[in-house]
Amino acid sequence: MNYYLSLQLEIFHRHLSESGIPPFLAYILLGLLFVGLSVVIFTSLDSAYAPYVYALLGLSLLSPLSNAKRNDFLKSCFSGQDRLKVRVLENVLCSLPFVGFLLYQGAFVVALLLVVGAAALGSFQLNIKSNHSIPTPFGKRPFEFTIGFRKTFYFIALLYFVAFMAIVVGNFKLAIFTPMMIYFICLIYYNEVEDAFFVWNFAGSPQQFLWSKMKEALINVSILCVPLIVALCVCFPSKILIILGFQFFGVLALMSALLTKYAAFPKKPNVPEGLLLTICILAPPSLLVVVPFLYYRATKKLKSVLNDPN
Amino acid sequence: MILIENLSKTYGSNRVLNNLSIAFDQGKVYGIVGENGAGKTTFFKCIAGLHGYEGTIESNYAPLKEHLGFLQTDPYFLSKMTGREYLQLLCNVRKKKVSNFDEKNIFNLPLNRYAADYSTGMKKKLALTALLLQENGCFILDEPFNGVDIQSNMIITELIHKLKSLDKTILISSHIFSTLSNTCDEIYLLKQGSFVRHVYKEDFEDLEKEMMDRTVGDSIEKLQLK
Repeated sequence: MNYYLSLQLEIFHRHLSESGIPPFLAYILLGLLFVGLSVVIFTSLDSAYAPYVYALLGLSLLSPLSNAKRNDFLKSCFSGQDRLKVRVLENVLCSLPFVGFLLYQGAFVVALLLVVGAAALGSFQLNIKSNHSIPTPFGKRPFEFTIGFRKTFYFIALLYFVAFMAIVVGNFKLAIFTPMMIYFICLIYYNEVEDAFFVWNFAGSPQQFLWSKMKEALINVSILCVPLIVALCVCFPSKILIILGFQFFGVLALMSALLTKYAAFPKKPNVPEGLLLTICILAPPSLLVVVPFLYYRATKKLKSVLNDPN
Repeated sequence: MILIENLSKTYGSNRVLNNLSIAFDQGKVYGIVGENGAGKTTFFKCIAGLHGYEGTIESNYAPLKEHLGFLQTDPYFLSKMTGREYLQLLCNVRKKKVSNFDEKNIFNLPLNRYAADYSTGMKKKLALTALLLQENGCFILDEPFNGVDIQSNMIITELIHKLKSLDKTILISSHIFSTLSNTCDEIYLLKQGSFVRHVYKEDFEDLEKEMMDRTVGDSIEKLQLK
Protein backbone atom coordinates (compact mmCIF):
# COMPACT_ATOMS: atom_id res chain seq x y z
CA MET A 1 0.00 0.00 0.00
CA ASN A 2 2.86 2.37 0.89
CA TYR A 3 4.47 1.58 -2.44
CA TYR A 4 1.23 2.35 -4.28
CA LEU A 5 0.83 5.72 -2.56
CA SER A 6 4.49 6.68 -3.08
CA LEU A 7 4.10 5.65 -6.73
CA GLN A 8 1.09 8.00 -7.05
CA LEU A 9 3.24 10.81 -5.66
CA GLU A 10 6.05 9.92 -8.06
CA ILE A 11 3.62 9.97 -11.02
CA PHE A 12 2.37 13.40 -9.89
CA HIS A 13 5.98 14.64 -9.72
CA ARG A 14 6.60 13.32 -13.23
CA HIS A 15 3.62 15.33 -14.50
CA LEU A 16 5.06 18.42 -12.84
CA SER A 17 8.55 17.79 -14.25
CA GLU A 18 7.15 17.22 -17.76
CA SER A 19 5.54 20.63 -17.57
CA GLY A 20 9.01 22.14 -17.12
CA ILE A 21 8.43 23.43 -13.60
CA PRO A 22 10.54 21.99 -10.74
CA PRO A 23 8.22 20.19 -8.27
CA PHE A 24 9.13 22.43 -5.30
CA LEU A 25 8.27 25.56 -7.29
CA ALA A 26 5.07 23.94 -8.59
CA TYR A 27 4.05 23.13 -5.01
CA ILE A 28 4.56 26.76 -3.97
CA LEU A 29 2.61 28.07 -6.98
CA LEU A 30 -0.19 25.55 -6.61
CA GLY A 31 -0.39 26.33 -2.87
CA LEU A 32 -0.64 30.06 -3.54
CA LEU A 33 -3.30 29.54 -6.19
CA PHE A 34 -5.27 27.21 -3.94
CA VAL A 35 -5.26 29.78 -1.12
CA GLY A 36 -6.13 32.53 -3.60
CA LEU A 37 -9.13 30.65 -4.99
CA SER A 38 -10.27 29.70 -1.50
CA VAL A 39 -10.14 33.32 -0.36
CA VAL A 40 -12.15 34.36 -3.44
CA ILE A 41 -14.88 31.81 -2.61
CA PHE A 42 -15.07 32.85 1.05
CA THR A 43 -15.10 36.58 0.31
CA SER A 44 -17.60 36.43 -2.55
CA LEU A 45 -20.11 34.24 -0.73
CA ASP A 46 -22.32 34.78 2.27
CA SER A 47 -20.38 33.51 5.33
CA ALA A 48 -23.30 31.23 6.28
CA TYR A 49 -23.11 29.27 2.99
CA ALA A 50 -19.45 29.57 2.01
CA PRO A 51 -18.08 26.64 4.09
CA TYR A 52 -20.76 24.28 2.71
CA VAL A 53 -20.20 25.32 -0.90
CA TYR A 54 -16.44 25.05 -0.32
CA ALA A 55 -16.78 21.55 1.19
CA LEU A 56 -19.01 20.45 -1.71
CA LEU A 57 -16.41 21.72 -4.16
CA GLY A 58 -13.75 19.73 -2.31
CA LEU A 59 -15.88 16.58 -2.45
CA SER A 60 -16.68 17.06 -6.15
CA LEU A 61 -12.96 17.15 -6.95
CA LEU A 62 -12.60 13.69 -5.42
CA SER A 63 -15.07 12.05 -7.81
CA PRO A 64 -12.46 11.17 -10.51
CA LEU A 65 -10.77 8.95 -7.91
CA SER A 66 -13.96 6.85 -7.75
CA ASN A 67 -13.80 6.10 -11.47
CA ALA A 68 -14.88 2.50 -12.23
CA LYS A 69 -11.83 1.61 -14.37
CA ARG A 70 -9.48 2.97 -11.73
CA ASN A 71 -11.28 0.93 -9.08
CA ASP A 72 -11.12 -2.20 -11.23
CA PHE A 73 -7.36 -1.69 -11.44
CA LEU A 74 -7.14 -1.31 -7.65
CA LYS A 75 -9.23 -4.46 -7.24
CA SER A 76 -6.73 -6.37 -9.33
CA CYS A 77 -3.87 -5.07 -7.14
CA PHE A 78 -5.29 -5.21 -3.61
CA SER A 79 -7.49 -7.46 -1.54
CA GLY A 80 -10.90 -6.09 -0.40
CA GLN A 81 -9.76 -4.56 2.92
CA ASP A 82 -6.55 -3.10 1.53
CA ARG A 83 -8.34 -1.59 -1.46
CA LEU A 84 -10.82 0.07 0.88
CA LYS A 85 -7.95 1.44 3.00
CA VAL A 86 -6.20 2.82 -0.10
CA ARG A 87 -9.36 4.50 -1.39
CA VAL A 88 -10.29 6.01 1.97
CA LEU A 89 -6.72 7.16 2.63
CA GLU A 90 -6.22 8.81 -0.77
CA ASN A 91 -9.61 10.54 -0.54
CA VAL A 92 -8.86 11.88 2.94
CA LEU A 93 -5.35 12.96 1.91
CA CYS A 94 -6.70 14.81 -1.13
CA SER A 95 -9.35 16.55 0.96
CA LEU A 96 -6.79 17.80 3.55
CA PRO A 97 -6.04 21.17 1.87
CA PHE A 98 -9.78 21.94 1.94
CA VAL A 99 -10.07 20.72 5.54
CA GLY A 100 -7.11 22.92 6.51
CA PHE A 101 -8.70 26.03 5.00
CA LEU A 102 -12.05 25.26 6.62
CA LEU A 103 -10.30 24.96 10.01
CA TYR A 104 -8.55 28.28 9.35
CA GLN A 105 -11.98 29.80 8.69
CA GLY A 106 -13.25 28.33 11.98
CA ALA A 107 -15.74 26.00 10.24
CA PHE A 108 -14.84 23.02 12.45
CA VAL A 109 -18.07 21.05 11.98
CA VAL A 110 -17.99 21.41 8.18
CA ALA A 111 -14.32 20.38 8.18
CA LEU A 112 -15.22 17.25 10.12
CA LEU A 113 -18.13 16.58 7.75
CA LEU A 114 -15.76 16.91 4.79
CA VAL A 115 -13.35 14.33 6.23
CA VAL A 116 -16.23 11.92 6.92
CA GLY A 117 -17.69 12.57 3.46
CA ALA A 118 -14.34 11.99 1.76
CA ALA A 119 -13.85 8.72 3.65
CA ALA A 120 -17.41 7.63 2.80
CA LEU A 121 -16.86 8.46 -0.90
CA GLY A 122 -13.77 6.29 -0.79
CA SER A 123 -15.81 3.28 0.16
CA PHE A 124 -18.17 3.69 -2.80
CA GLN A 125 -17.44 2.84 -6.36
CA LEU A 126 -19.15 4.68 -9.20
CA ASN A 127 -19.86 1.68 -11.36
CA ILE A 128 -23.33 2.25 -12.67
CA LYS A 129 -23.62 0.27 -15.91
CA SER A 130 -26.75 0.63 -17.93
CA ASN A 131 -27.94 0.00 -21.44
CA HIS A 132 -29.38 3.51 -21.42
CA SER A 133 -27.56 6.79 -21.67
CA ILE A 134 -28.41 9.98 -19.81
CA PRO A 135 -30.23 12.33 -22.20
CA THR A 136 -28.69 15.75 -22.77
CA PRO A 137 -29.82 18.86 -24.64
CA PHE A 138 -26.58 18.87 -26.67
CA GLY A 139 -27.23 15.95 -29.05
CA LYS A 140 -26.85 18.03 -32.23
CA ARG A 141 -23.45 19.32 -31.11
CA PRO A 142 -22.00 16.37 -29.20
CA PHE A 143 -18.69 16.21 -27.41
CA GLU A 144 -17.45 18.15 -24.37
CA PHE A 145 -20.89 19.22 -23.13
CA THR A 146 -22.62 15.87 -23.69
CA ILE A 147 -19.84 14.01 -21.87
CA GLY A 148 -19.41 16.64 -19.16
CA PHE A 149 -23.15 17.05 -18.55
CA ARG A 150 -23.55 13.30 -17.97
CA LYS A 151 -20.85 13.46 -15.30
CA THR A 152 -22.09 16.60 -13.55
CA PHE A 153 -25.85 16.91 -14.12
CA TYR A 154 -26.57 16.39 -10.42
CA PHE A 155 -24.36 19.39 -9.54
CA ILE A 156 -26.15 21.53 -12.09
CA ALA A 157 -29.52 20.43 -10.69
CA LEU A 158 -28.25 21.30 -7.19
CA LEU A 159 -27.09 24.72 -8.38
CA TYR A 160 -30.51 25.42 -9.91
CA PHE A 161 -32.05 24.52 -6.54
CA VAL A 162 -29.59 26.80 -4.71
CA ALA A 163 -30.40 29.61 -7.16
CA PHE A 164 -34.13 29.11 -6.56
CA MET A 165 -33.62 29.28 -2.78
CA ALA A 166 -31.37 32.35 -3.12
CA ILE A 167 -34.04 34.13 -5.18
CA VAL A 168 -36.74 33.18 -2.66
CA VAL A 169 -34.74 34.67 0.26
CA GLY A 170 -33.48 37.58 -1.89
CA ASN A 171 -29.77 36.73 -1.46
CA PHE A 172 -28.17 38.23 -4.57
CA LYS A 173 -24.60 37.20 -3.68
CA LEU A 174 -25.57 33.56 -3.51
CA ALA A 175 -27.83 33.82 -6.56
CA ILE A 176 -25.08 35.30 -8.80
CA PHE A 177 -22.71 32.62 -7.55
CA THR A 178 -24.78 29.82 -9.15
CA PRO A 179 -24.34 30.69 -12.85
CA MET A 180 -20.67 31.35 -12.09
CA MET A 181 -20.38 27.84 -10.68
CA ILE A 182 -22.03 26.45 -13.82
CA TYR A 183 -19.43 28.28 -15.91
CA PHE A 184 -16.75 26.81 -13.65
CA ILE A 185 -18.17 23.28 -14.14
CA CYS A 186 -18.23 23.85 -17.91
CA LEU A 187 -14.55 24.88 -17.79
CA ILE A 188 -13.79 21.42 -16.43
CA TYR A 189 -15.53 19.85 -19.47
CA TYR A 190 -12.59 21.04 -21.55
CA ASN A 191 -10.19 19.04 -19.43
CA GLU A 192 -10.81 15.96 -21.59
CA VAL A 193 -8.45 15.92 -24.56
CA GLU A 194 -9.68 14.00 -27.59
CA ASP A 195 -7.59 11.76 -29.84
CA ALA A 196 -5.96 13.72 -32.70
CA PHE A 197 -8.19 11.70 -35.07
CA PHE A 198 -11.26 13.76 -34.08
CA VAL A 199 -9.52 17.06 -34.81
CA TRP A 200 -7.93 15.67 -37.99
CA ASN A 201 -11.42 14.87 -39.30
CA PHE A 202 -12.42 18.54 -39.29
CA ALA A 203 -12.76 20.03 -42.76
CA GLY A 204 -11.25 23.49 -42.49
CA SER A 205 -8.41 25.63 -41.18
CA PRO A 206 -7.32 25.91 -37.52
CA GLN A 207 -9.08 29.28 -37.32
CA GLN A 208 -12.33 27.79 -38.65
CA PHE A 209 -11.97 24.88 -36.24
CA LEU A 210 -11.54 27.16 -33.21
CA TRP A 211 -14.40 29.45 -34.21
CA SER A 212 -16.75 26.50 -34.70
CA LYS A 213 -15.72 25.14 -31.28
CA MET A 214 -16.26 28.55 -29.67
CA LYS A 215 -19.66 28.91 -31.32
CA GLU A 216 -20.65 25.46 -30.04
CA ALA A 217 -19.42 26.31 -26.54
CA LEU A 218 -21.41 29.55 -26.53
CA ILE A 219 -24.64 27.83 -27.63
CA ASN A 220 -24.19 24.97 -25.18
CA VAL A 221 -23.34 27.09 -22.16
CA SER A 222 -26.28 29.36 -22.98
CA ILE A 223 -28.62 26.35 -22.84
CA LEU A 224 -27.41 25.75 -19.28
CA CYS A 225 -27.17 29.34 -18.04
CA VAL A 226 -29.74 31.50 -19.85
CA PRO A 227 -32.74 30.32 -17.78
CA LEU A 228 -30.84 31.24 -14.60
CA ILE A 229 -29.67 34.59 -15.96
CA VAL A 230 -33.18 35.53 -17.08
CA ALA A 231 -34.54 34.59 -13.66
CA LEU A 232 -31.85 36.67 -11.94
CA CYS A 233 -32.50 39.67 -14.22
CA VAL A 234 -36.24 39.47 -13.48
CA CYS A 235 -35.81 39.04 -9.72
CA PHE A 236 -32.93 41.51 -9.25
CA PRO A 237 -33.68 44.17 -11.93
CA SER A 238 -31.43 46.77 -10.28
CA LYS A 239 -28.42 44.43 -10.68
CA ILE A 240 -28.78 43.65 -14.39
CA LEU A 241 -25.46 45.25 -15.33
CA ILE A 242 -23.61 43.24 -12.66
CA ILE A 243 -25.34 40.03 -13.80
CA LEU A 244 -24.45 40.64 -17.45
CA GLY A 245 -20.88 41.64 -16.54
CA PHE A 246 -20.42 38.36 -14.67
CA GLN A 247 -21.78 36.45 -17.69
CA PHE A 248 -19.38 38.26 -19.99
CA PHE A 249 -16.38 37.16 -17.93
CA GLY A 250 -17.90 33.68 -17.53
CA VAL A 251 -18.02 33.31 -21.32
CA LEU A 252 -14.47 34.63 -21.66
CA ALA A 253 -13.26 32.16 -19.01
CA LEU A 254 -14.98 29.33 -20.90
CA MET A 255 -13.30 30.40 -24.13
CA SER A 256 -9.94 30.53 -22.38
CA ALA A 257 -10.47 26.94 -21.11
CA LEU A 258 -11.33 25.81 -24.64
CA LEU A 259 -8.33 27.60 -26.13
CA THR A 260 -6.04 26.33 -23.34
CA LYS A 261 -6.92 22.77 -24.36
CA TYR A 262 -5.97 23.36 -27.99
CA ALA A 263 -2.95 25.53 -27.10
CA ALA A 264 -1.47 22.41 -25.50
CA PHE A 265 -2.91 19.94 -28.06
CA PRO A 266 -2.38 17.03 -28.53
CA LYS A 267 -1.00 16.93 -24.99
CA LYS A 268 -3.18 17.47 -21.96
CA PRO A 269 -2.94 20.99 -20.53
CA ASN A 270 -0.31 20.85 -17.82
CA VAL A 271 0.75 23.07 -14.92
CA PRO A 272 1.75 26.17 -16.97
CA GLU A 273 -1.56 26.18 -18.86
CA GLY A 274 -3.43 25.43 -15.61
CA LEU A 275 -1.69 28.32 -13.86
CA LEU A 276 -2.57 30.68 -16.69
CA LEU A 277 -6.20 29.62 -16.53
CA THR A 278 -6.31 29.99 -12.74
CA ILE A 279 -4.81 33.49 -12.96
CA CYS A 280 -7.59 34.33 -15.43
CA ILE A 281 -10.24 33.12 -12.99
CA LEU A 282 -8.66 35.04 -10.11
CA ALA A 283 -8.15 38.21 -12.13
CA PRO A 284 -10.89 38.23 -14.82
CA PRO A 285 -9.68 41.39 -16.64
CA SER A 286 -6.53 39.44 -17.58
CA LEU A 287 -8.79 37.34 -19.82
CA LEU A 288 -8.92 40.19 -22.32
CA VAL A 289 -5.19 39.68 -22.93
CA VAL A 290 -4.92 35.94 -22.30
CA VAL A 291 -7.74 34.84 -24.66
CA PRO A 292 -6.13 36.33 -27.83
CA PHE A 293 -2.75 34.92 -26.75
CA LEU A 294 -4.21 31.42 -26.30
CA TYR A 295 -6.04 31.72 -29.62
CA TYR A 296 -2.76 32.48 -31.37
CA ARG A 297 -1.00 29.53 -29.69
CA ALA A 298 -3.91 27.16 -30.40
CA THR A 299 -3.94 28.00 -34.13
CA LYS A 300 -0.20 27.25 -34.28
CA LYS A 301 -0.63 23.92 -32.48
CA LEU A 302 -3.54 22.86 -34.71
CA LYS A 303 -1.74 23.55 -37.98
CA SER A 304 0.04 20.19 -38.13
CA VAL A 305 -3.03 18.14 -37.14
CA LEU A 306 -5.24 19.91 -39.66
CA ASN A 307 -2.48 19.79 -42.33
CA ASP A 308 -2.83 23.53 -42.77
CA PRO A 309 -0.15 24.75 -45.22
CA ASN A 310 -0.49 28.45 -44.24
CA MET B 1 -6.25 9.15 -57.17
CA ILE B 2 -3.37 9.33 -54.72
CA LEU B 3 0.19 9.74 -56.02
CA ILE B 4 3.00 9.06 -53.58
CA GLU B 5 6.65 9.78 -54.38
CA ASN B 6 9.73 9.00 -52.30
CA LEU B 7 7.79 8.69 -49.07
CA SER B 8 10.06 8.09 -46.08
CA LYS B 9 9.42 8.14 -42.39
CA THR B 10 11.92 7.88 -39.56
CA TYR B 11 11.51 7.72 -35.79
CA GLY B 12 14.83 8.87 -34.40
CA SER B 13 17.39 6.59 -36.06
CA ASN B 14 14.75 4.01 -37.00
CA ARG B 15 13.69 4.27 -40.65
CA VAL B 16 10.16 2.85 -40.82
CA LEU B 17 9.31 3.69 -44.45
CA ASN B 18 11.90 3.70 -47.24
CA ASN B 19 11.37 5.92 -50.30
CA LEU B 20 7.99 4.51 -51.24
CA SER B 21 6.63 5.55 -54.62
CA ILE B 22 3.21 4.33 -55.64
CA ALA B 23 -0.02 5.47 -57.33
CA PHE B 24 -3.51 4.52 -56.21
CA ASP B 25 -6.17 5.00 -58.89
CA GLN B 26 -9.83 5.84 -58.52
CA GLY B 27 -12.29 2.94 -58.65
CA LYS B 28 -9.70 0.43 -57.48
CA VAL B 29 -9.16 -1.50 -54.28
CA TYR B 30 -5.60 -1.96 -53.06
CA GLY B 31 -4.45 -4.40 -50.40
CA ILE B 32 -1.39 -3.69 -48.29
CA VAL B 33 -0.03 -6.76 -46.56
CA GLY B 34 2.95 -7.29 -44.34
CA GLU B 35 4.02 -8.68 -41.01
CA ASN B 36 3.38 -6.81 -37.76
CA GLY B 37 5.75 -3.84 -37.64
CA ALA B 38 6.26 -3.79 -41.43
CA GLY B 39 5.05 -0.15 -41.49
CA LYS B 40 1.46 -0.52 -42.77
CA THR B 41 -0.18 1.68 -40.15
CA THR B 42 2.62 4.27 -40.37
CA PHE B 43 2.16 4.32 -44.16
CA PHE B 44 -1.58 4.91 -43.73
CA LYS B 45 -1.06 7.61 -41.13
CA CYS B 46 1.38 9.42 -43.43
CA ILE B 47 -1.17 9.40 -46.25
CA ALA B 48 -3.79 10.71 -43.85
CA GLY B 49 -1.44 13.45 -42.67
CA LEU B 50 -1.58 12.23 -39.09
CA HIS B 51 2.21 11.71 -39.20
CA GLY B 52 4.86 13.97 -40.68
CA TYR B 53 6.98 12.48 -43.49
CA GLU B 54 9.56 13.15 -46.17
CA GLY B 55 8.51 12.98 -49.84
CA THR B 56 5.31 14.05 -51.56
CA ILE B 57 1.72 12.86 -51.47
CA GLU B 58 -0.59 14.37 -54.09
CA SER B 59 -4.22 13.76 -54.88
CA ASN B 60 -6.97 14.98 -57.17
CA TYR B 61 -8.83 15.75 -53.93
CA ALA B 62 -7.63 19.00 -52.42
CA PRO B 63 -6.99 18.71 -49.59
CA LEU B 64 -6.96 14.91 -49.47
CA LYS B 65 -7.54 14.88 -45.69
CA GLU B 66 -11.03 16.32 -46.10
CA HIS B 67 -12.08 13.57 -48.52
CA LEU B 68 -10.43 10.68 -46.73
CA GLY B 69 -12.14 8.20 -44.46
CA PHE B 70 -9.61 6.53 -42.20
CA LEU B 71 -10.71 3.45 -40.26
CA GLN B 72 -8.06 2.86 -37.63
CA THR B 73 -7.12 -0.60 -36.35
CA ASP B 74 -8.34 0.29 -32.90
CA PRO B 75 -10.83 3.16 -33.23
CA TYR B 76 -10.84 5.59 -30.30
CA PHE B 77 -14.08 6.43 -28.50
CA LEU B 78 -14.73 9.04 -25.88
CA SER B 79 -16.38 7.91 -22.67
CA LYS B 80 -20.06 8.76 -22.10
CA MET B 81 -20.66 9.44 -25.79
CA THR B 82 -23.39 7.41 -27.46
CA GLY B 83 -23.03 5.74 -30.86
CA ARG B 84 -25.52 8.25 -32.30
CA GLU B 85 -23.51 11.19 -30.93
CA TYR B 86 -20.31 9.73 -32.38
CA LEU B 87 -21.93 9.61 -35.83
CA GLN B 88 -23.30 13.13 -35.36
CA LEU B 89 -19.87 14.45 -34.31
CA LEU B 90 -18.04 12.92 -37.29
CA CYS B 91 -20.71 14.25 -39.67
CA ASN B 92 -20.63 17.71 -38.05
CA VAL B 93 -16.86 18.07 -38.51
CA ARG B 94 -17.23 17.33 -42.24
CA LYS B 95 -20.32 19.56 -42.46
CA LYS B 96 -22.51 16.67 -43.61
CA LYS B 97 -26.18 16.75 -42.66
CA VAL B 98 -27.73 13.34 -41.99
CA SER B 99 -31.40 13.40 -41.10
CA ASN B 100 -31.94 9.84 -39.93
CA PHE B 101 -29.14 7.82 -38.41
CA ASP B 102 -31.41 4.86 -37.65
CA GLU B 103 -32.10 4.39 -41.35
CA LYS B 104 -28.37 4.37 -42.10
CA ASN B 105 -27.56 2.01 -39.21
CA ILE B 106 -26.88 -0.99 -41.45
CA PHE B 107 -25.07 -2.95 -38.73
CA ASN B 108 -28.03 -2.59 -36.32
CA LEU B 109 -25.87 -1.02 -33.64
CA PRO B 110 -27.45 0.13 -30.35
CA LEU B 111 -26.95 3.81 -31.14
CA ASN B 112 -28.33 5.06 -27.84
CA ARG B 113 -25.74 3.16 -25.79
CA TYR B 114 -22.31 4.55 -24.93
CA ALA B 115 -19.90 3.66 -27.75
CA ALA B 116 -17.01 3.09 -25.33
CA ASP B 117 -19.01 0.16 -23.89
CA TYR B 118 -19.40 -1.50 -27.33
CA SER B 119 -17.56 -4.73 -28.13
CA THR B 120 -14.45 -4.55 -30.37
CA GLY B 121 -16.45 -5.52 -33.46
CA MET B 122 -19.26 -3.08 -32.73
CA LYS B 123 -16.76 -0.26 -32.31
CA LYS B 124 -15.25 -1.04 -35.69
CA LYS B 125 -18.68 -1.15 -37.33
CA LEU B 126 -19.64 2.19 -35.76
CA ALA B 127 -16.40 3.82 -36.92
CA LEU B 128 -16.95 2.44 -40.44
CA THR B 129 -20.55 3.68 -40.51
CA ALA B 130 -19.31 7.18 -39.62
CA LEU B 131 -16.80 7.15 -42.49
CA LEU B 132 -19.51 6.07 -44.93
CA LEU B 133 -21.85 8.84 -43.76
CA GLN B 134 -19.06 11.37 -44.39
CA GLU B 135 -19.30 10.53 -48.12
CA ASN B 136 -15.52 10.35 -48.58
CA GLY B 137 -13.79 9.90 -51.92
CA CYS B 138 -10.91 7.79 -50.58
CA PHE B 139 -10.91 5.18 -47.85
CA ILE B 140 -8.12 3.70 -45.79
CA LEU B 141 -9.37 0.67 -43.92
CA ASP B 142 -6.76 -0.62 -41.49
CA GLU B 143 -7.81 -4.14 -40.47
CA PRO B 144 -11.56 -3.63 -41.18
CA PHE B 145 -12.40 -7.32 -40.69
CA ASN B 146 -10.63 -7.80 -37.35
CA GLY B 147 -12.94 -8.67 -34.45
CA VAL B 148 -16.05 -8.34 -36.61
CA ASP B 149 -18.61 -11.17 -36.79
CA ILE B 150 -19.01 -13.22 -39.98
CA GLN B 151 -22.30 -11.60 -41.03
CA SER B 152 -20.80 -8.12 -40.75
CA ASN B 153 -17.69 -9.29 -42.61
CA MET B 154 -20.00 -10.15 -45.50
CA ILE B 155 -21.59 -6.70 -45.33
CA ILE B 156 -18.16 -5.02 -45.25
CA THR B 157 -17.04 -7.03 -48.30
CA GLU B 158 -20.16 -5.95 -50.18
CA LEU B 159 -19.64 -2.36 -49.04
CA ILE B 160 -16.12 -2.37 -50.49
CA HIS B 161 -17.50 -3.65 -53.82
CA LYS B 162 -20.11 -0.89 -53.78
CA LEU B 163 -17.52 1.81 -53.00
CA LYS B 164 -15.37 0.53 -55.87
CA SER B 165 -18.34 0.76 -58.25
CA LEU B 166 -18.82 4.36 -57.06
CA ASP B 167 -15.27 5.14 -58.27
CA LYS B 168 -13.77 5.54 -54.80
CA THR B 169 -10.11 4.78 -54.03
CA ILE B 170 -9.78 2.15 -51.32
CA LEU B 171 -6.72 0.93 -49.42
CA ILE B 172 -7.10 -2.05 -47.12
CA SER B 173 -4.79 -3.89 -44.80
CA SER B 174 -5.73 -7.25 -43.42
CA HIS B 175 -4.07 -10.27 -41.87
CA ILE B 176 -6.77 -12.53 -43.31
CA PHE B 177 -5.70 -13.19 -46.89
CA SER B 178 -9.10 -14.39 -48.10
CA THR B 179 -10.70 -11.02 -47.22
CA LEU B 180 -8.16 -9.29 -49.46
CA SER B 181 -8.45 -11.74 -52.34
CA ASN B 182 -12.24 -11.23 -52.26
CA THR B 183 -12.04 -7.46 -52.43
CA CYS B 184 -8.73 -6.21 -53.88
CA ASP B 185 -7.62 -5.52 -57.45
CA GLU B 186 -3.95 -5.34 -56.52
CA ILE B 187 -1.92 -6.28 -53.47
CA TYR B 188 1.36 -4.77 -52.31
CA LEU B 189 3.61 -6.63 -49.90
CA LEU B 190 5.34 -4.29 -47.46
CA LYS B 191 8.47 -5.53 -45.75
CA GLN B 192 10.74 -3.49 -43.51
CA GLY B 193 9.34 -0.26 -44.90
CA SER B 194 9.65 -1.14 -48.61
CA PHE B 195 7.26 -2.64 -51.14
CA VAL B 196 8.87 -5.95 -52.08
CA ARG B 197 6.04 -7.45 -54.20
CA HIS B 198 3.19 -6.12 -56.28
CA VAL B 199 0.65 -8.62 -57.61
CA TYR B 200 -2.56 -8.43 -59.64
CA LYS B 201 -5.70 -10.43 -58.95
CA GLU B 202 -4.71 -13.38 -61.15
CA ASP B 203 -1.56 -13.93 -59.08
CA PHE B 204 -3.09 -13.67 -55.60
CA GLU B 205 -2.99 -17.43 -55.10
CA ASP B 206 0.74 -17.52 -55.86
CA LEU B 207 1.36 -14.70 -53.43
CA GLU B 208 -0.61 -16.45 -50.69
CA LYS B 209 1.32 -19.69 -51.24
CA GLU B 210 4.61 -17.84 -51.29
CA MET B 211 3.79 -16.03 -48.06
CA MET B 212 2.66 -19.28 -46.47
CA ASP B 213 5.88 -21.04 -47.39
CA ARG B 214 8.06 -18.16 -46.30
CA THR B 215 6.25 -17.45 -43.04
CA VAL B 216 5.21 -20.87 -41.81
CA GLY B 217 7.89 -23.05 -43.42
CA ASP B 218 8.83 -25.77 -41.00
CA SER B 219 8.46 -23.52 -37.90
CA ILE B 220 5.48 -25.53 -36.56
CA GLU B 221 7.37 -28.80 -36.95
CA LYS B 222 10.13 -27.33 -34.78
CA LEU B 223 7.68 -27.24 -31.87
CA GLN B 224 7.42 -31.05 -32.02
CA LEU B 225 3.83 -30.85 -30.78
CA LYS B 226 2.57 -34.09 -29.19
